[in-house]
Amino acid sequence: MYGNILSLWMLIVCCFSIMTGCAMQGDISRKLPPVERPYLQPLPPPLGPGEETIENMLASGKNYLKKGEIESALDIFEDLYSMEPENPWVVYYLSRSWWKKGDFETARGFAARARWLFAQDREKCRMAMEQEALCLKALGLTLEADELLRRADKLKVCE
Amino acid sequence: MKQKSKQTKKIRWPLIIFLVTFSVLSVVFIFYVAFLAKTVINRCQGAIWDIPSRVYSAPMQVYSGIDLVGAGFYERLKKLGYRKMKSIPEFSGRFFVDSELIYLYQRSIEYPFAVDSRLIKMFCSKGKVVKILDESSGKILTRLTLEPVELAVFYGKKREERYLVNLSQVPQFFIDAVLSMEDRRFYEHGGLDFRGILRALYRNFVAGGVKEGGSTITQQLIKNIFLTPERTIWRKVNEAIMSLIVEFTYSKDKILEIYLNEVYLGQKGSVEIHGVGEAARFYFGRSVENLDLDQSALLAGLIKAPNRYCPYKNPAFAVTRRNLVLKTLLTLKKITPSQYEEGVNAPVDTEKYLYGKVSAPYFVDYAVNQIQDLYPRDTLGSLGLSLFTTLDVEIQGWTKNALKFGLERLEAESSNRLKKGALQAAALVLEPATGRILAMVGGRDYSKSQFNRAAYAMRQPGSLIKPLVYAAALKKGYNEATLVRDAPVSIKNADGSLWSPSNFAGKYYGKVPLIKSLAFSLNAATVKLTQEIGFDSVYRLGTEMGLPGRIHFLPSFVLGASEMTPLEMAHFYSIFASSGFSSQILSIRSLFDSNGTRLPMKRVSIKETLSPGLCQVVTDMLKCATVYGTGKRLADYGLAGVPGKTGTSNNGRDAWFAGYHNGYLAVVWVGRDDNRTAPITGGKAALPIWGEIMEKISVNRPSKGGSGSAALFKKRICIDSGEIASSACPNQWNSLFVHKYEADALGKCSLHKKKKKWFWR
Repeated sequence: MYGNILSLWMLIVCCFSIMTGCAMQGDISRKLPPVERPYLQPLPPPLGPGEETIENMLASGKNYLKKGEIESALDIFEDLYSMEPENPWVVYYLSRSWWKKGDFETARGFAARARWLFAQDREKCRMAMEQEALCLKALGLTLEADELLRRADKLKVCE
Repeated sequence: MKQKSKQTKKIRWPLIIFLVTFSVLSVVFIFYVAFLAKTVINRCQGAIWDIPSRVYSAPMQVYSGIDLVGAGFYERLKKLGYRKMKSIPEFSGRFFVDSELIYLYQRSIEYPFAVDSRLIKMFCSKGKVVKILDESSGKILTRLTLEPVELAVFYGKKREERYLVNLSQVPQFFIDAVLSMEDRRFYEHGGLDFRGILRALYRNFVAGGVKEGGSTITQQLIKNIFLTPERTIWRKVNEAIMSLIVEFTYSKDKILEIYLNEVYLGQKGSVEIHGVGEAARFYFGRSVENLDLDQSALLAGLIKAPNRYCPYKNPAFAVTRRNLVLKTLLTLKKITPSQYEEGVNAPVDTEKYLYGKVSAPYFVDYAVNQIQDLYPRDTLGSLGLSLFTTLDVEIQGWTKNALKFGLERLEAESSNRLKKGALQAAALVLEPATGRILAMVGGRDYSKSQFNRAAYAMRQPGSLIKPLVYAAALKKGYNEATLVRDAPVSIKNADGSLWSPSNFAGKYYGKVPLIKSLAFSLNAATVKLTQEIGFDSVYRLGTEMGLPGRIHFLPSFVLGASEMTPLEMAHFYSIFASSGFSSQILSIRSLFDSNGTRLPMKRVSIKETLSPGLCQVVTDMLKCATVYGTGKRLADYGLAGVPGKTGTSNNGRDAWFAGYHNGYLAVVWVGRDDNRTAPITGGKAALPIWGEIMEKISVNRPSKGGSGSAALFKKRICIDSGEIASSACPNQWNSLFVHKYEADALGKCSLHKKKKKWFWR
């Protein structure tokens, strides 16, 4: 009799263990990351020009702009834009250069991009919006300029 | 008395005849001299020579941190003709590598940026530049700009190579050497040297033949510019008269300057080398003002017989002639004995013609066409323009090779259905932010076909145009997870006919989210979507994005039935790649005339066309296409997850791939010129070529960003159901949403249910 009880007890324990094991497997699958299609990662690109190079070129361009040598300033800013098209200061100074040259349409384009790139910094975003508004006024689009300045005043999210 | 008048009459008539004849001849002579004078003055006041126009590539920038081997620095030096030396170079156009130190003697250039020749020292570590030092000034440079490579030269009818110089640029010993050998009394005579003429006559009489000429530099100039080299008395008379006219009209220095720019000094293949400026560059790789005494003597000695005394062909003769010139200078006390000794002992160190040809004929044609209105092609040979383009010679090389080998591989794989050479292709690489063309290959072989397919071939883009439809949908408030029905669809055309586009292989998926529809390039779903948002909104957006006005905006347009060129497709995709800012396509950076004056040209300009957030969502959907969709073969190149789209027109007539990565955009087209069907698809034919090009670029060029910074919201969705993914979903994607409520509105995936535990089943 004791043997039968022992056998029955062992059977119950085994069944319970199997049930627990299955349940735990389900838990493990929840912890694993979702199945993704495996693919080769792209090789990392080489390094670009360092911050110091960019800063020095920017300073050089600003210097030309200050001296009124617009073509030389544009040459440098365009090279910089080619290297770092998402550097907001480069784009901003391109706008300033075109503004000084008198091409307000092109200056407006760069100011709009600077506005977008400065989106995370309210003060700089506002500065870019003011530059854009200047270009709009020069193009005779006074209503759009005023609307932009109103948005700049109420700046919450820079769009 | 009668006898006397008869005698007087006899004397008078001959005299009268003589006087009349003399007067008539004098008048004729005066008019003739006036005509010659007008000819001389008109010619000398205008452009005397045809100056060839040259086309250059973009310059190469070297800065701290750059990997020289990956950037192609040494290849660029080879293409520029820089010679590798065994010690620190002392002259421009040479370089020396000493393990981690590079000494580069950069040549002087005037434009597009003015740089004097200087010795540069580059400190490197593991092949990467650490510091750049200008040894000449001691300054540390933030960047070094290597001069651009010459891509093409447009010569005039005479095919003469010439680099104009002023007299002040020519060293005095060079002038002395020329005058000593050609015209010692140049500054004393008035155009004709009678002593020289008499001396030559005597020597020729003694020798029994023409051994010596008595021509002055002025006479030589007249002969070269105005007359033919034939030896006739009439030509000699004209030469003498015109020499006197020139001497009367212009100063001696001016005449000498013109002579030094005109004189023939050798041959470069089929092109003649004229002028000391070009000769200095050709023979010694330096500007004329930097020539040494022995080099000046060698060039002065060439004038008599440039091919006989050419240092490349006959170095021994060249040395003998040079030493004779030096001896003459010493005799005339123009140089000191020590200068003479130094000169005769100097080796003849000429610049071997090492320039590596860069072949980009389709691109050069395209760039030249951009200035066609102002400067027609047939005038370029005389204008002396310098055209600095946007071409990146390394990327051009990779593109050419990828195209060549890609087509050969394709034809080999389909050899039973495609004859060798049946296929054509075109490829374009550009910088979407600036619009600059970095590489352009317009066909397989320029020598067989000069038609530039990259710029002018109008072909059906197929599915390549689809992102326009999805961008229009996003603009209308749709998002990546919005469902659209993928089922057989028919549309009635304006003429009453029925258009029933089908999916590839006739497979339909039912309701699919937008992201899957674009990734899998589902035709039916795309047409259905267009019906929902309205054909007009798609066409309107297409116009705003700059699609050409000639396109027929018919319903089939949304599946790419309207023809476009690869360049137009590149411009279209560049708007998504640059986060909504459209830039005009540029092939020219700057243009200078023969005087070095910069001429007005288009510059980089951008215009806000689409919102950045919308473009980033489209980019995200295109990334999904290369992970799960028709572009998943990019994984073979390590580029899966890079935004890209395949395109295939009806019956495989056109195969396309367009995509962008790290700030570079490339478009590839493959097809047949006769527009016959071919066993090609975008994924099979164009994608591999694109992958090869972009793999090379991504490994060798630094990233320029392109990830965007618009504030978007992420949610992991199942691309089969368009709902929030669970662990059971096989295909998941971190989708982007412009508005948070779009992501929050999604339910859990109902398509793929998690397996219940066994005891709950």
